[in-house]
Amino acid sequence: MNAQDLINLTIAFLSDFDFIVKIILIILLLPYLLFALILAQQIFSLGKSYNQINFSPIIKTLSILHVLAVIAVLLYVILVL
Amino acid sequence: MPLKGEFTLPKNTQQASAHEKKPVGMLSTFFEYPEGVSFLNQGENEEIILLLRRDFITNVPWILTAIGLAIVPPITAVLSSLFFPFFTLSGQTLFAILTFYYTVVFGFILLEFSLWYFHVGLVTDARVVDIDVINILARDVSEVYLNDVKDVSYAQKGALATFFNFGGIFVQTNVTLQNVEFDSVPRPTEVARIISDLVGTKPRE
Repeated sequence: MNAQDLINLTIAFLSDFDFIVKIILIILLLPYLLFALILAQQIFSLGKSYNQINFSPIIKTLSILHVLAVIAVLLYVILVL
Repeated sequence: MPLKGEFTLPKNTQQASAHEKKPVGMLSTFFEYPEGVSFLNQGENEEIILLLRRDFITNVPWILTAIGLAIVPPITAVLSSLFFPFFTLSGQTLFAILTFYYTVVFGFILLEFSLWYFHVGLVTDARVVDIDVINILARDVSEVYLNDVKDVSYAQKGALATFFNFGGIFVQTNVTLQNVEFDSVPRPTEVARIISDLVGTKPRE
């Protein structure tokens, strides 16, 4: 592979916006998934410190849905894009 | 000593009948005798007299931020079509970006709401409990038994606090014990009075 091939390859890579976005999304989604897991864990933990029977299950469910949404987006980016 | 044949209610039943309990709402910031509320290490017969949260008006900054974040993508779409017409993405990629973006916005709302929702002050018939959720990884739980309370004071600072009637409550003990502080709770005068009545002191401004 000579210098010209390398330049052509780089130009082809940089012109494929979709591929670049896919890489960026994966890089952002992985730490965000960690944040979502910590948030859900903390909500469950705080639910033990203070429990309001009529609403605590809702906020816990929302935190699980948030984690599932992040996993769904991550799988979509990896498998579909 | 009950008379012969006299029916006497147990002490707990007498107290419960004296104060009617009501289910507490999701966004309640000041609630007396809440039903369906409990906290860690609550005594078997310990009754919650007052549930406090920061006034709802304190949520306005993050609610406005969330609304602002939610309308960013449509604005960005218009601007990018005007200034970067050569920059095009497939529909699938745009869908992934938007889904991720709105998941992050939802995460922001969930985080901010949780910080407000779990940041509570509780006044029971035995103690004052303050659960401070500082951020997602830090919380501070402090409690003071009513017997140890030396002074209860409140403070309202600023136009917003005066207009919406919220402020800080300071429950002070002697120097060897920690103090409890509720910040931005609604109706601080009434809160101070309720705690003072339980303790048997006069509230101080």
